[in-house]
Parts: sequence; C-alpha cells; structure tokens
Amino acid sequence: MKNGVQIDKVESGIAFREKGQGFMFCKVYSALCLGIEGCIVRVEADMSNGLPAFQIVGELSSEVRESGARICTAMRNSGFSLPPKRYLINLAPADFRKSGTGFDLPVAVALLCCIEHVSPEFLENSIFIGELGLNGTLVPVKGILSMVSQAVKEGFSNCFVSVENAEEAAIVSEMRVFGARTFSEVIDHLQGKRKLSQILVPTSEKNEKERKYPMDFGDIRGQETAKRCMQICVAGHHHLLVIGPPGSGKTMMAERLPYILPEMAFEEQMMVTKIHSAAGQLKPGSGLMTCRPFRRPHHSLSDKALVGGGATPTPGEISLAHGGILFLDEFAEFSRSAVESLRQPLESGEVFVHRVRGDFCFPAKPLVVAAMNPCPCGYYPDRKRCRCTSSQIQKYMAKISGPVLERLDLCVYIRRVDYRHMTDEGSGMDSRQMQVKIERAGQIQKERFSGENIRYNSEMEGQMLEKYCGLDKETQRFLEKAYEKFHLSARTYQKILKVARTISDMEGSPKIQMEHVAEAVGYRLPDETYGGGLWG
Amino acid sequence: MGLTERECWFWMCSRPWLGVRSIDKLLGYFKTAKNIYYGRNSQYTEVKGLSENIRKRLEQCVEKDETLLRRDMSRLEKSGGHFVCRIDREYPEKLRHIYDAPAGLFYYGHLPEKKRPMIAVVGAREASGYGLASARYFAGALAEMGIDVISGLARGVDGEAHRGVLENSRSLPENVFEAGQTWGILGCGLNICYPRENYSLFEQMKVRGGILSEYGLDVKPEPWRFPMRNRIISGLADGIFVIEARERSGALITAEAGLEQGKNIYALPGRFNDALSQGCHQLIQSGAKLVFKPEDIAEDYDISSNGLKSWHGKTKLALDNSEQLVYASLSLSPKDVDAISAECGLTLSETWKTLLNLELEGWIRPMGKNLYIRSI
Repeated sequence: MKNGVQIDKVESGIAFREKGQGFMFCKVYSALCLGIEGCIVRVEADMSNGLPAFQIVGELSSEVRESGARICTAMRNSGFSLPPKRYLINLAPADFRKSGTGFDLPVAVALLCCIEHVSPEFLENSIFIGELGLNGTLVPVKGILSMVSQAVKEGFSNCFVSVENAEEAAIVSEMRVFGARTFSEVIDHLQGKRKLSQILVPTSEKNEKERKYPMDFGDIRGQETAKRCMQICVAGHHHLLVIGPPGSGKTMMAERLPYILPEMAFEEQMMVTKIHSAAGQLKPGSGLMTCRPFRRPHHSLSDKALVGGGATPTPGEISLAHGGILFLDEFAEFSRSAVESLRQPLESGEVFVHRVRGDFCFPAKPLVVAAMNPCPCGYYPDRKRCRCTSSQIQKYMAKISGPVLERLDLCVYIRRVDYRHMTDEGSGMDSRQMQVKIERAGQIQKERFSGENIRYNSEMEGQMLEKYCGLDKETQRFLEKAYEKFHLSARTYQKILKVARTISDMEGSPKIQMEHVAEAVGYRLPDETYGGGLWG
Repeated sequence: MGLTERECWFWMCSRPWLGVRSIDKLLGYFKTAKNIYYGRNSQYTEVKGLSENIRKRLEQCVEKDETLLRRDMSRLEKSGGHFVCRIDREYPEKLRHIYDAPAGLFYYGHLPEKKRPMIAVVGAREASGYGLASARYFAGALAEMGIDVISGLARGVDGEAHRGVLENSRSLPENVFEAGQTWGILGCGLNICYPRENYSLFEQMKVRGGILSEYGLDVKPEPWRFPMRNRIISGLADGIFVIEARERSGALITAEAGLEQGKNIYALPGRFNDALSQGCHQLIQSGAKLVFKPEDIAEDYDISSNGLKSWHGKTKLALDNSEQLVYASLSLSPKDVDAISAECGLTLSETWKTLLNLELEGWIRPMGKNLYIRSI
C-alpha cells in the first residue's frame, strides 16, 4: 500500500483500488499438480508506478520463470496492451516450487484485472489453468483432473481451461467447466460480451449394456493351458510369468487381459485418469478412462521410468499400469536394477519418491505379466531348432532368479501354435466364457475378505492363509509329497496355496480340492533350489 | 640326486606343449625319459621331426624346475590323484595297443579293471529329452548287468550316462557296489572340473570308478583337446554305444577311433528326420549294431540279463484309469499339458492332478515347464 494514497478496499480482498489508478492489486486462483495431487495456487498481481518492469516471484521453476515474456506477447496479440508500469506477480504460497505451464492464463487474467479490463467479482470462486501460445491460443496442460478435483474440495465452482482439457476437467461434475480456444474468449466471457458454454460430460449412466471385447481371447486358437493360467492370474490377481518361443502369442494374450479384468469402479477410473493426466499420457480431448490400462514398456527403460521419479516426480510405468496390466516383454532383457526396483512397489502397492521438496506417492497396483523366451535363441526344448548349451540356458534363466521370482506367483509355458489349431474354427474359450469364472471368483473373494483389508487371494498373508486355505488330510499328504519331491521352498508353498485357493474359487468350490492344488503345483514358478535353474 | 625315471615320465606327461606324438619321437631317440630330461641341446636338434617350438622349450631350464615338479607331484597326491605311465605294470593293457597311446594318465579313483567289459556311452552335448533319458536308462541297465560305462564327463549324453550308472548302483548293497562303476575321461587337467555343472558328478565318480586324463594339472580345457581324449574313451572300452549324434558330432570321432581299434560299435536309432539321430543312423547303415534294448549289448559279452527291469516292464497295475490314459499319451518326446488334456479328454485340473501323481511316482519326467516325457 503506497504512501499517502488512500486505498479503497473492494470485494473481500480480491483486489485493491488506488484512487483513479485502476486496481493496484488483484488476486486470481490457479492450481498445479504435484505428483498426482492437485494444489491450489494464488496468483497475485500488483501494478505500481516506477520504471516499467515485469517480475514474477514465488519459488519458480524455469518454465514458469520464462512465462513472463510469453504472457505479455500473448496478451498483446490478443488485443490487450499493458500500460508501461511496474508489474509484480506473486505465486503464493511461496514455499513450494511452482512448476508446469498452467500459470500463463491466471497471470494474464490477473494483469487484465489490474488494468480494469476484467471485473474482480468474476474472479472469485473461479480457477484458471492454461498455457498461452504467443498468438493468444490456449494450450492444454497436464494433470488437469487432479487440479480440478482439488479445487472442488476447496470450494471453487468455476473453472477455465483450454478446450482440449475441458472434457477431462468436466469429469468432476460439481465444477462448472468452461473450455476456451483462445485467451480472448476467456476475457470476452469474463467481460460478459460472449458467454462460453459450460462443458458437460454426459453423466455416465450405468452402462448395463453387454460388455464389449475389442480384443477377444477367442482369437487365440489352442493354448488352453495358457488361457487357463491367464484366467487364474486375473481372478486372484496373481502376477504371471509367461515363457514361450518367439511368435507363440505371448504378447497377443497379454493384450487381451485388460478386457477380462473386472470393470473399474468410478473411484478407480478417477485414479487411473489422474495418473495418466499427471504423466501427460492422456490424449487431448479425452475424458475419463473407462478401459483398464495396458502398459508395455520397452526392456531398455531405466528404473526411474519404470517406477517413477525425475526432478519433478512423474508416475512411472508401474503407476501408469495401476489397475491394469504391466506387460514386461523380453523380461530377461530388462536391466537388473529396473527389475529390482519393482520389488518394493509390488509389495506395498505404492511408489514413494523422496525429494528434498517433499515426498510423492503414486499408487502402483498393476497386474504384472512378464514374458520371456525359454533360452537365448528361444526354441528350447525343441532341440531340432535350439542349439543353446545348457549353461547358456541356465545363465539366461538365472537373469530372472531371486527377488524377482519372489513377486511372481504363476508360470506357464506357451508352445508354438500347431497348424491344426490355427485352422480350427471357434475352438477354445473366448473372453466372455473366461470372464464367468473370473467374476465368480471375484464375488467369492469379495465376501471372504469383507472383514479384511485385502481384495484378492494373492494378498493373503500368514494367518489368513491358515484361515482360508485349509486342506483335507489326503490333499495335505499329496502336497507334502510334492513338497519333498520338488524341493519346494516355503515361499513357493505359500504361493501354491494361494493359487489353489483362486482355482477353487473359480470352480465355486468352498474347499480346496486335490486337483486344485495339483494344478497350482503345475503352474508353480521354478524354485531356486530346484536344480539351479528353471529346467532342472 | 636327480630325478628317477618315473619322475621324468611325470615331468614329460605334464608338459602341456608336449604331445604324445612328440613324446614318441623323443623316446625313439633317447630310449628313456631320464635321457630326455637330461638331454643335451645338441641331442635335441638331432631328433627327427621335432618341432622348433618343442625343441626350444626342451632347452629352457624353466621347464626343468625340480622343485616345481615335486610340488606338482605332491599336489596331485594330496588331492587323492595318481599317476600311471607306460613303464608301469598298472598301465591299462587295452591302451597299450592303440595308436597314439597316451604316455601317461593322471587319475582319481582307480583304473578300469580288465575282467569286466566296458562300454563307452557317448553322444551329443545338446541332446534332446529322448537322448538324455535313453543315455541314463541304458547306462543304468548296463551297470546293473555288470558292465562298466565309460564316457567323457561332458554335458548332455555323457553326463547322463554317468548319472545313470551312479543312480543305479545306489540301490545296490555296499558289497556289490562294484556293479555300478563308471569312468570319465577329461579333456583338461585333472583338477579342473569342466563343465562346472557336473561338479557333484565329478565328486561321486572319484569314489565310484574314476576320472582319467592324459593332461597334467592345470591344463585348460581347449576345444582341440576333446577329440584327442576320445581315442582314450574308445581305447578303454570294448564297445562304443552312440546315443544321439548329429552328422558331424564328436561322438562319431569316438566311434571312428573305436572302429580303427577294432571295437564293437552300437547305435541307438531315432526318428528318420531327427537331426540329432542322423549320426546314429549313418553308423547303423554302415554296419553298427542297432540297439533297442540293453540286452543287445550284453549278449555280445556273454552276460545274461536275468532280472533286469525293462522299461516296459514296470507294472501298470498301480495306475488308475486316467493315469493309464495320460501315461499312454506320453512318449519320449516332450508333450505339453494342453495336448495331453485334449488327447485324453480330461479337464486341465484333472490332467494336472494325474500328471503330478505320475511324476511323484516316477513314471514321467518334466522337460521344462508344462512339458512331460515318460521316464524310462
């Protein structure tokens, strides 16, 4: 407040007016995305006399710091010129780093408010998020959904975003979303010249329609064991290792998995969309993600890219696959450190990224499907084609040993498809048939774990195993025999029990039968103690 | 003072650069090993056909370090190894007659006895499940009938053959454990276990038979040394049984050497289009004996096969319906669970149950994940 100048207070602190000078101070709200959480930011603009200057303060990252020139040019090109004065922009609270490009629009609006082009009363209850192009167009930004949902929680009711972001923002139904193509459209709306229409997303009336399978397991001929294994993997949320020669259909099958997973609840859809939005993986103009994600990272990716991180932490592949499938093709080719980094997230279901500026937490509960060849050339045990030595094969297999195998519950071998099967019409299960058993198992698990803090059989631990995986005498003897004969480890034993539980749930059997255990033993992962490698 | 004749033989045999042919040339000139050791430089130049490199080495005194030599000898002794050379009475009689007979042998365990027939079971290193299973079965059956088995301690067929013998002798009472003896010939120094994965086999064979090598301690396994040791395998054997061999396989070198040495050649047939059986088929075509049961070999040595358990002979009474069905659908080439369940008309759960029961009872064996073969 300037010396000796009388100041009127207008509108509950949104702006201050100096006599005959326009507003000296003005406040607009915006938001940014930290990790996957939205955070409201106050954009304060102050205009004062003195040598013309333009400064933005408030712990800025470089992309925000350089926005000043962009904003001024965009404003001029939209037909607004700023009088030569001193302008100070403050992004508050000033104690955390402001990153992202969404502050261009609020800063520009705040400036126009200072020179009385926009009336401050319109600015209350509104948040502005958007980047400006030099020609005044409004550019979409990442993480809109997180920001808008946070804004609703803090009581905002209007939001101005780029038209490409509008659909995503409108997922939050409590918010009145206005999508604009250019900066001047926003100003026209605020000045009341030409109103923008509110973007409405047709409220997702419960789609009771038949589920669609854009990719169907019915396309895959033969391979019943593998399909069965996929079914178990989905039903009990067991991570799966698929081994097979090149071209046997490992990828093809994994791609079909998201469609037989149970449909996502709204909260889950919100979470998945938020993660993708924060990572900038959402296509412009797309709304809520209703389809479960399928991520297929290349094996050359770094551990940061896999679990998330970076200077401004962004979700990694494992978080992007949250609620869906994380397909790790050529598993043996992944770097050791990348694979090791999977361990903790898969255990806790979350990724923590620790930074000086704070800790970020990304949800990470994907269903992991790893695929690999049985040997370096890929054709073992077909000795007509494979001429790898047994030590080569063992070395290849040893790449995935240890801590990684700990996290995987199931293992299946896929063979090359016979011609006979390829020409077979309509043989085998299709996705719809597969889903019947998955849903049944899901229902049983839901009832079983209603008192517990878990959802799937694979998450059972300690006491729960005893409680829910009781075996009768005969089955117990059978498992004991197998345990001795195959030199199973305690860990493998537990996994077998969990998988057997899922199989019996799929079959609707309240008790675990012997054949369920036998099948689970058949799908067990190679044990480290077992002959030093997968092939014994 | 000075070295004994036998120590000079040890010295001569443990030079990695001195092959058996050069040794013979030197012996032709010097008559005794001692003379070679203490030979004068001028004498070395007079030996006909000796390569320049060997002559130079012989002249170097580094190669004639007595303390090093004594250390090597005690090293061999401490590890439980022995040395035998042509001048010894224990030197295997069978080897004396072969071309390029090794000058000396380093060995663990004991040397093969004359009185019992010995069959070399050899084959591909990258053998199929069929090859591995049959190597194991035939070697075991031969051992049971009192025939010793010799092989190359390599991966694949060789190792399986040794294993078959050891496995089979395990069930015999201690006093007749002679029944299961097996010898392995190495292509490297005796103290080097190559390939590594046969380490436990290596240790067991020191007790149940022996491990032989014509190379001194610390000699690295080099590709060209392996065909060389094949002549010892065939030399020590009375017959050579080729299990699985590609068209140009090391096992055929053994068979060829055996043929030159006048041994019986046996071959296991495979399927006509199996690349891994091409070598065997060629052998059969050119006169090798086709073997499809262990007795085929035994009869040549007047050994009766009474009480030998045949692989067909396992009583199937113990199996229930679905087990018989599943067992019948399996063969010696791997079949996966999918195909088994489709063929037997069982659900996957039932198939798994049956397979695991069969596996637990030892009727079948897994070959990798989800693939099964009959065990014989």
